[in-house]
Amino acid sequence: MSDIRLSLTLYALSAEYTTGRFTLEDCLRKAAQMGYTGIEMVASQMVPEYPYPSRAWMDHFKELLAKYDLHPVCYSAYIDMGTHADRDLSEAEIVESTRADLEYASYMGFDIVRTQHAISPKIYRQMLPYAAKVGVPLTIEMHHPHNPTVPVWQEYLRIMKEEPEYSGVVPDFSIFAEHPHKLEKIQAVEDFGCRPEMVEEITARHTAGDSEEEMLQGDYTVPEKNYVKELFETYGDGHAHLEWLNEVLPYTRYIHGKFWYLDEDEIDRTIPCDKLLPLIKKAGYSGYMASEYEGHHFSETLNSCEQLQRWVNMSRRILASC
Amino acid sequence: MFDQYMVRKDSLENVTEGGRTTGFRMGVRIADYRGCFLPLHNGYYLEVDGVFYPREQQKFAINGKAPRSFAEISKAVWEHWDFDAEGMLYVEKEGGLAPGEHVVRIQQSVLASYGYMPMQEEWVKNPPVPGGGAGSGKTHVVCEYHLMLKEEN
Repeated sequence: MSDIRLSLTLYALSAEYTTGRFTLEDCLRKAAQMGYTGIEMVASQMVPEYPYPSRAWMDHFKELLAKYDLHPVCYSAYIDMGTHADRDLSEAEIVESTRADLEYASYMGFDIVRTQHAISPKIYRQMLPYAAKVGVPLTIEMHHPHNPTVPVWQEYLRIMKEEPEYSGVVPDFSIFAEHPHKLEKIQAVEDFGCRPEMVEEITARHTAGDSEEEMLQGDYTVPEKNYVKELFETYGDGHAHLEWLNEVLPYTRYIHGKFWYLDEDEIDRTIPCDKLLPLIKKAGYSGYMASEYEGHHFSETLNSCEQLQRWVNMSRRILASC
Repeated sequence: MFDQYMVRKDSLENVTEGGRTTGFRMGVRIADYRGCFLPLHNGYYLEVDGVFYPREQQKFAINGKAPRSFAEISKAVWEHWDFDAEGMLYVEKEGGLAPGEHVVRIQQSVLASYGYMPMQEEWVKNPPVPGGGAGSGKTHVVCEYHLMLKEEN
């Protein structure tokens, strides 16, 4: 029996937070008001003195969670390999920073830590006993351009199969994106100088199945050809590989419901949620699925809460009807 | 992305040391969505009124410390620039800027990773010169600001 709960990654409110319209507490209050029961936090965005937050701040944060009755689901961490100007992080440094993330996440009560594939299969396996010790699973996000067919991911999925207790994957819906969204098309015109009618034509040709090679031979300007390349890089041939779900769901501890823009009709035309959510439910997934609004990468003036509400309505509608 | 929030619009002012005006400075925030360790901050592409100011003429002040060159910043391993914190970009220019409005064209370079893609592996080996978009987060363009120089007290 599937039990899908909706959480909010506070990153979805980046525009409000960055521009000072919302404080951290405002983000939490809004999450609760919109009906979310859990939250995710990008630690290096909102945690003061990250990666080593003070006890006082963490206690304050726990009080805020209690005040708004929100469950801390996911503490999102990064591995910045370029932290030294002249070399990659060493294994010891990756282990140390991941240990810190696990410990602080544990203190704040988060269910999981989400790290990135840069951790390497070797260190990931090495960290799992430590995750078990602090009682916080260490998960890795699978984000476009990665997918289950990428060799390093086949290694990760094998480790997750062999050592399931404190491992797991966080699939991001970007891996299922099929078509460009409205904000991307606006950006192509306003920021990159593409002709609006050509953006529409290129988008329609991509949807109709024309090849990248054919389209690059078209009578397009350089920015328009870049737009062609961008479409194929981000959306492939315009058909999501829904079968990838079967490969990741057995190890999925959390889901990033990525989206960029929904119109008033509350339909996602970029990511086929109408197909994905029934498959996830049918597979029996139980856990949180985050609303991960990312339209702020394209425009910081859109109302993120309105977008989030549309996504929540869409998700509830789909889940209720399947 | 947050390109209109990178430079604080009322922050441009001349810098005076020992009675001599040696340059100018402005308040800057991270143009991407999260904080970073300092060595990932790789400097700025900067033009003011059509004059290019290379990284060698730039210094950066953060975390209550005196301005440091980007060569020094690259060695400040594990010192974090919190996302909320404003840093100060110092630029050497004998005599500073003239009073009035200035056109500032700027692109920030922060070589943070999402995962570890081949492009980012290349950044570790060969740090890019700011301005080509590397490390500019989702701000693909060089941002243009029209800023009034603060009057000296």
